[in-house]
Amino acid sequence: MDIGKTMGEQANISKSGSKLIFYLIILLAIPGILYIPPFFVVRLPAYSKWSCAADFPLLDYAFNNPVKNADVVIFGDSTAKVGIDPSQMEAVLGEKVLDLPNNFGAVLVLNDLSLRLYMEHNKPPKLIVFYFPPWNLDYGHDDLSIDPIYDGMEMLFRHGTSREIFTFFEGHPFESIQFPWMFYKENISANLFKRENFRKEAQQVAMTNGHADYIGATLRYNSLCTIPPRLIGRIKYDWVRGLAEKYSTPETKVMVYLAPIPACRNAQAVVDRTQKVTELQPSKIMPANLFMDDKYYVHLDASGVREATEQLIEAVRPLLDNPKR
Amino acid sequence: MLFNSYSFLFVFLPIALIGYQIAGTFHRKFVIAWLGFASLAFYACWRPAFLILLLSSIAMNYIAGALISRNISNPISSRFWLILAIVLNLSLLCYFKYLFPSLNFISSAVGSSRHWENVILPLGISFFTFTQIAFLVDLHQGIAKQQDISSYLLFVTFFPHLIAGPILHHKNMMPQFQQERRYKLDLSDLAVGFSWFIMGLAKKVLFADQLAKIADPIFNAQQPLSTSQTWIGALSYCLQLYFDFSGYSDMALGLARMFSINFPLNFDSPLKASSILDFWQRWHMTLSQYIMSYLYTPIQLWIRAKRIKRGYSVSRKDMSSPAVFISMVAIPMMTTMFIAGIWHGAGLQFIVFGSLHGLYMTVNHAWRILFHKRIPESPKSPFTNNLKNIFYTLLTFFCVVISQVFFRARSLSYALYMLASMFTPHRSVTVLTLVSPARSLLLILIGLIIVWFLPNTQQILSRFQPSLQESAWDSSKVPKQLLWAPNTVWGLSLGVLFFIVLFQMQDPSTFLYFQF
Repeated sequence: MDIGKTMGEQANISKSGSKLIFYLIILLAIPGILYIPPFFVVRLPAYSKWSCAADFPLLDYAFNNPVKNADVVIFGDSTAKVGIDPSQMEAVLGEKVLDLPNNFGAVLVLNDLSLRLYMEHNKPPKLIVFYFPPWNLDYGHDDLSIDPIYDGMEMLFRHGTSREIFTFFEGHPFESIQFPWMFYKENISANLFKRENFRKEAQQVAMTNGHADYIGATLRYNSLCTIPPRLIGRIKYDWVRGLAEKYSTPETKVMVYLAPIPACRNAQAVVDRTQKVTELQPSKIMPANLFMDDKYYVHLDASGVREATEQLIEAVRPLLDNPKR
Repeated sequence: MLFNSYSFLFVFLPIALIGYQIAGTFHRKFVIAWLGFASLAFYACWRPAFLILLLSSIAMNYIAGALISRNISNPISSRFWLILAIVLNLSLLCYFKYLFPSLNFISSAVGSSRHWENVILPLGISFFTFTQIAFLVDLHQGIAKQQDISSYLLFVTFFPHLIAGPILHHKNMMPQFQQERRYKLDLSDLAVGFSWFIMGLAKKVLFADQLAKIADPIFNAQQPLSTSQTWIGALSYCLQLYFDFSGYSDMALGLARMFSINFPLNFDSPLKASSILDFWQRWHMTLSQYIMSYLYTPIQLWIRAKRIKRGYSVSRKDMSSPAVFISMVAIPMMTTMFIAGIWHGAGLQFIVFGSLHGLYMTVNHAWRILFHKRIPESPKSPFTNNLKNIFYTLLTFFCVVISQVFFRARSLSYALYMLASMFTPHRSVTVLTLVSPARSLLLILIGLIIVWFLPNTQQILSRFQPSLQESAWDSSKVPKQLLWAPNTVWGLSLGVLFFIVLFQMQDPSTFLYFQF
């Protein structure tokens, strides 16, 4: 071997430097160039027609001011979206009711952005209902890695101000720089063949002012189920309490309502823990077979929505000035 | 840290390359020290505590090497130090890999309810243990020389091979670390290495990870499966394992090449093999060489010595006698593959996997030695030869698929259940919602087309001398259009592939061989 030469040179395979540099530039340029557009494409109004992200139509609905000057605004996570039917509430209460659809990952990223924007562009509602399961009352302190956050990031980059985006970037730089790769995966490979399902879901949301039936798991829990201790251990109240204080004004009442939970063997432990940690009315316990068997233990099947909505109606009725009876 | 993670691609690798370039401006020793440091940092990213274990193992073996080679003068025989070091190395390996699974096995066999929690297996423990044992054995035999500590540390820990191989041999690596050459980034090596890395990454992310989504639900199923489902599971896993491990090896060789270091090949289109012996010369080649050099050959030599002592024949000519064949070929082969099976894991299914391959290879040897030579070769047309070759390749593939059911199954009984389902036609009422048969078959078909009909990555790169083996430098059998060159077409093609891989690899999965 010749001393003073690199391996490439020793193997007599070195091409001219400029040719190799050109090759490497082309190779890296393709991902490099394609990395930038997603940040801008999501802000285009027409993107709503192209997006294949699973919950895009639902989340985007919340940002498009779909029901002007609602009397009752429900803000929660996916539990509210699948568990409550605002159109049923509207028919019973005679008030305009809107749910701002959300999901777990989106709340992690967006916090109360959709509610804040809604309040900026509409008259203050008579009542805001914060609707969450007992173990999701402390979003502000959750780690972003616990659930997929693409939907939330997409909404942030679409509807957030540059300041809001920058604040998120400061707190979560690693997640933020991954956004373009997530964008391509969601729009190209992950959901390409599921768009039709999402469209149907969006139509239902528009017709009901924010409700979509659950899609995903097909199995339901049974009465032998056990709510995982990790969920019970998550019952903390700080974040939602902060929200309630923030939005409570003389014109607008607020209420924190805990979503119903399945009648698993240890459901009472959830009730006990809720009473110990919060001053809230505990969750109603509903038959376990009305809940979908996913890891969340709170998503109602369509057959349980009417009953859950009736329970909520009874809870909010005393807080409205002239509810229809 | 995983090769298929953003943190590796966008943080670790650029820093390692820049550091290499800077260190290269000073002296070779700085380069060795930098690469050693980067490799330790790479290992520590997984679990910093296990860095102590890795460093202890290196220190122990380095001292043992010094004692064996008499760099530390001592009156005790080097054979004693060698045996002691091997025992210590294997004890460490056994503790982490076999002790608790064995205790649990014994416990359940005797009907006890006592259960021990398995300890976390330190990544790459088998690989760095075997690499070091081989070095000590060769030191003892005078084949290797004791090295300076930084070269030795780099030889054991160099990050492209640390976790899952290839298993490096000192005679290949030490000269490259000690060679007086310019240690700086070479554009040619960078282009070859990075292109190779992308090809390997694509194998992992676009094929292995997708095939895993088909194989995993089938191998983890709790409900009865149909014949077609079990075949889909077995074929998917066979291809998953191939794309996973060969993808990892491509990435390892590509990364090393980016630092102007050549590794030995680890894969050479094993699923194109026309016999099981051929298969093992193409699959995990460095492990095959290792077990041949450090297990099979010593066992065979030991038996040979015993036979000579007893006055029995050991000539090649007598190998066609069944008794000689059994003692000189079958016993060493079965023993070697039995141990190789155990190396892969503590379950009975791994023992069956190894023994089955031992049996395959013994039969293959027997066919060659006892029968094949007796059949007079008649001249055959190319068509007949091709047909014969296709039959042999399919037969080999079939044997491999069967053996890998044991390799993947969660237990021996589940492997037997899978095989029974594969060979007794029946339907299942179970709908595995995660597996779409059409999508699965399409992916399997694409995978088979790639492994059977396309050249492998080192053939594609053959004009640029990828790897240490010169046999891989022959580009004559590869269509010209498929030979890699640093031009616009290849730049665009690999750029698009890299882009697709980048957005597909959001939840990086570990490599299958990490568990070994």
